[in-house]
Amino acid sequence: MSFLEYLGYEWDDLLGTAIGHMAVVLISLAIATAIGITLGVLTYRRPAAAQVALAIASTILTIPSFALFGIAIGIGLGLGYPPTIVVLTGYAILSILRNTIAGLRSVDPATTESAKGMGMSNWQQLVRIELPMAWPVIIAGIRVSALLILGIATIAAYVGGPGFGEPIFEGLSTLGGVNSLNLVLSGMLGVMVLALVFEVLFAILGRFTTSKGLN
Amino acid sequence: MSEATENRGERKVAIRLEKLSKTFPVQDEPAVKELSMDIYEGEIVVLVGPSGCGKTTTMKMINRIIEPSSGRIYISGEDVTDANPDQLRRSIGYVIQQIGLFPHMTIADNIATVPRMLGWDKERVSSRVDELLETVHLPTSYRDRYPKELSGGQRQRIGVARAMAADPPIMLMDEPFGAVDPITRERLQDEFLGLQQEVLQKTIVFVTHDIDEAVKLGDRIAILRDQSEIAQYDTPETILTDPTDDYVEDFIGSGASLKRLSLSKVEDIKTAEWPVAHLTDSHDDVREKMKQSGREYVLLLDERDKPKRWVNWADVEQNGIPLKEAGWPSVAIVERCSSLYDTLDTMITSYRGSAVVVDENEGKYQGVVDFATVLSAIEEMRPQEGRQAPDFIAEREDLPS
Repeated sequence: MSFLEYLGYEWDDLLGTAIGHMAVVLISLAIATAIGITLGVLTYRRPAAAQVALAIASTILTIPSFALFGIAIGIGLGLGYPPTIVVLTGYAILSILRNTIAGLRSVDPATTESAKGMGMSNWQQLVRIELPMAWPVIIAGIRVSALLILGIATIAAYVGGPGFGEPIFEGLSTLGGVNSLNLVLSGMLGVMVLALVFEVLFAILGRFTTSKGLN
Repeated sequence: MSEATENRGERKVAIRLEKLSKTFPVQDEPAVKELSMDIYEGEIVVLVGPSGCGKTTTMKMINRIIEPSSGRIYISGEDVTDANPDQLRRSIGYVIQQIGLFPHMTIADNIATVPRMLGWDKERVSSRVDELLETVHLPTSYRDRYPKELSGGQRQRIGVARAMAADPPIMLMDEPFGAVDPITRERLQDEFLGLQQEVLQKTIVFVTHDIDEAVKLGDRIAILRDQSEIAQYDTPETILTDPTDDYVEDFIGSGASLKRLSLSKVEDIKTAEWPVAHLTDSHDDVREKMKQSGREYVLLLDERDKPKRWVNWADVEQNGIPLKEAGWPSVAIVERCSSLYDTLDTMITSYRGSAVVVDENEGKYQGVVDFATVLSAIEEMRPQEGRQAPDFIAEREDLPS
């Protein structure tokens, strides 16, 4: 069976796989964004704390993903979605956190001083001035994280997670079999297509959520 | 009742600083040491001094952007040293050198910041924005633009408009015109002065390192040395003519007398008597006026009393040349509100060494200023031996009480 014939035959299954893959990435990304921005806001004015937070987030990234998925099962998260989301979230935090800190620090001190001088509380300064101004940098961090965990999510098949890891693993385990190459190819291309979809989504999101005054 | 509500003469104390000190954490020496000063309602007080003298720190302690280490701050008689800083700041306009407009907000949103925090309704905010844009000479179509779309001078105007938005009685301005080119700066200064005289009449604390700016804008100037110690706190006129010590003299720099001239206007001095005639008069009349006055030149006016030409005896000796072509055109013209400094400049570049004074509106002849007039005006400015420096309050009737 040629690859195209295979695609035509397996189309419905692949679409379901794509949705599962996307869902697990989006959920992890949302959680990581919440954690990353919160940590960034809490630490950007405290250099020591920021160092510690960044060091921890970097360390997570250095752990081989196979090992981390193994640990996730080991600590009792079971199989399927829960360990997948926990691991992907862990990997996604670093670049969101780093960009949040960088973005907030890049806000011109004169801008925050004038906000303060006009009587804005710290919270108002953060929500009305600093976060909107740091947003283009933060969203760039989310985008990098998204691409990163799109790839790592394939490994999640190892712990029974959804997504394109399934056809890839299946293909690898039946290497030399009838459809093994088609399976691996469909998984790989599926991730690439999803990556393109994410790129487009982020371009649109960035455009509509960033003030025109910042371009 | 605290002491700070006490009046001095007719005028109320708007801001009183009492033994205000600030020591920054890592420094041994205080940046500001036991500074006490009173600032009256409606006056522009300029804090001026070399870099690092503590002038900016002093200003920023008034709205507690920098918290004082010790001392008290009173605003309109009320001790605000421990008041809620956010509430305090909403009632004090604040303009800094870098302006600090919010780049992600439109001009209208920038200006509306404080009114919205104070809970003004939408319509009131919107009409206030329009009003302020007009006040700072920008078209209301700028409402929806972003700061990056404006020039430096325009951004500066928006910075001032934003600080005035909720009509605070007090404004703090830290080198607000520092970052623009000299021509724009001068225009902004002029506009600012006009604004203050016509509409604002606010209490303004202005920080600069530029003594010329201080002299131009200040009702009173505080010349500061290290640790914000006041070297002299007085009107620009007194500081220029009667500096208390070498430090002040050095700081004013050379040309203090010339700077003093920029503070006096032509209308403040007595103009010279000069024979005038009209272009429609006969040559005989002109000769007669010249003889009577004993001057060598007669100024010719047109039918609307605008100065037109200077003629001397040779020009009108014969009736041949019509008056409107005789002599030289009168080009050295100043208005009554021109400063003596500008007048002197005009005189030096003119050929007869004198300038004709006209009124601002119709350009009608008012008198003539020559070197003798300016010299006698300068004589009068010199402080007389044994006489006390004039009390600025008694002299400044033009300030609101």
